[in-house]
Amino acid sequence: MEFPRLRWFVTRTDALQLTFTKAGLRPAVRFPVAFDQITGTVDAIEALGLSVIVGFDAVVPHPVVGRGGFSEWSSRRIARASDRASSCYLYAGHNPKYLERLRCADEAGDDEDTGGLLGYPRCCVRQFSRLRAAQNSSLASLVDPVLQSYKDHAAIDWRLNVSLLCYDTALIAYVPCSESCPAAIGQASVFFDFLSQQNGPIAQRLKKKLVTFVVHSNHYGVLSFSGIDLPHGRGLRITNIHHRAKDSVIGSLVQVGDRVVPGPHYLTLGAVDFSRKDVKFFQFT
Amino acid sequence: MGVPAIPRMQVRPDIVGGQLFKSVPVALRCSQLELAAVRRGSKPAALLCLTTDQIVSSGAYLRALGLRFVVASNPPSSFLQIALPERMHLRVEPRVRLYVARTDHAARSLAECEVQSDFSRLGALLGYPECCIAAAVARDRDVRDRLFDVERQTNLIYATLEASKSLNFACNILLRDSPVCQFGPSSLVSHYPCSFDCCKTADLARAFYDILADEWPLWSLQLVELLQSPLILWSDRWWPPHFWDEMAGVVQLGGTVDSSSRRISGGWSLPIGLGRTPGGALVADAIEIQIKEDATVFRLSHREHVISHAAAGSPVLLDWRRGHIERSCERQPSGISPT
Repeated sequence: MEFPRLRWFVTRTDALQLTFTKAGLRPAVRFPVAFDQITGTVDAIEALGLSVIVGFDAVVPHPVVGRGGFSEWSSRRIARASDRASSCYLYAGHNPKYLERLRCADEAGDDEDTGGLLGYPRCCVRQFSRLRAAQNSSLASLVDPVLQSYKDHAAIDWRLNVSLLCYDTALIAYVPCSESCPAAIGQASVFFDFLSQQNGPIAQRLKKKLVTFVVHSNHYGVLSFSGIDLPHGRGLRITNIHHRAKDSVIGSLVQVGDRVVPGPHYLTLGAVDFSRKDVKFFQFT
Repeated sequence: MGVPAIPRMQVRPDIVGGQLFKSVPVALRCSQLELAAVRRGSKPAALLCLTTDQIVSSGAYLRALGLRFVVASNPPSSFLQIALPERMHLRVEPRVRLYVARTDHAARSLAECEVQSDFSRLGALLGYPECCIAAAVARDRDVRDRLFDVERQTNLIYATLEASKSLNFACNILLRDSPVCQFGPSSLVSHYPCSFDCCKTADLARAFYDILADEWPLWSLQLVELLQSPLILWSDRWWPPHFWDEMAGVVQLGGTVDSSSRRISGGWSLPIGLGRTPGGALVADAIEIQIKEDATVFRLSHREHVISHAAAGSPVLLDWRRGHIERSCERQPSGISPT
């Protein structure tokens, strides 16, 4: 379950999704690979007993500010050029014809068909397509789909924690249509049960990382931490920071020991108030 | 504000500022005086506009100031006062507003005023003089340029100049858009004065000068020299959109003005704003600048650089040391009608 060979080429989250695909829990998986890593990655996936096809388009990463190079929801596809520095998508699954259909849908920009073929819940795919269609095509104006889909008024099932995708820590690799989507929770539960059966310690380690407080923003970065409640509703005190990007506004301004106060208009982090329009505070339990 | 009785010193902001503000993040050097005034309670609050990268590099410093901050991405800046290519570039960069005060309440009030577009109250909370707030509210308009059919903002610097009878260097904010900013505070006040001889602004500047002299005495001497340096300023009113620039000019650091020949000599030139005109680039390191009948001539050590009045219009000469505005030379470029 540690996929020592595969992990040379793909992220932890992609390796996990490949496992779920191999087990038949989802029909196919798609992930970006650098051109010079294609051969090795294809060999490693085929060694798992899965089919794999290589996308035609080059994928240009467009890193999201303050997320250490993460670009998955803002990457853009261009016709493949001779530029070997860029990446392309690999599609892996059991059925090559199915993968070919997936590649065609993806490269045609059909988000709904692509999401469906990747095995994402229909409601989540529709929501994602709606959000993409509503956005300005300028990459700089892209708004994080998590911020648009998740409300932060109540605790959220930890299995739907996709805030930490940028830190390669997630059970599911798509953004559910809401913080309480039953279809997404159902699918994530199946994934977790399978993972627990295969390798209990890895499953528990992942759960421990996903049960956390998260401050999630578009341009200021994503912070995950644990904290203790302060008396008289005075918020939380950060006791441990699990994930933060050093190149983010939040990462540079917040320290262990800071107070976190989620108010109606502002989220206070230490000496800084962030407008709630820009920042969400999730409690994944 | 009169000229303090201090000896003139060589104008070298790079050397003096480089030493004094070495430990301050570059993005915050220009705002040091404002932040010091807020810390001391002489100014109720400050408003900074930074890129997210600048906040990241300043994070530890901001924490150490002991002030309260509100961070908000709205309202986004439109940058309608500057040229189209730079406008697009600036809009793409993730930019954040930082509302700074000594208390949470003050910082939040400031942020809310801006969201509600209550600019009069915003100005009051920032401690600006009433006359300057009223002038800014009246002048700050986004309009469609009739000649080029592009949206632009009123040139607030030129509007201020037109309202000025004379100059007081305490009201000089033109170096805020110059490379001096990367070395230290480049003005005594942080608002657009209603005129460059506004008494209320000069009073405010006096109080801030005292803070500056107390905290960074060497820079206070340097800044007085910088602010009294003569400057020539072009109006972008008739320029094509690719050249729009609120502060299109050149400051002759440490230079002196000969009014009769409209010549600035001594010191060295430093472009402010975007550093270009339709008649050519504004050059640094000129040892003499003269506004002639048909062109502005920059004399460099080995050559001359000429910007014709026909292409760029003729500039206004601002002699901050004597308080004179040389308008006689102002002329629009030929072949273009005003909007």
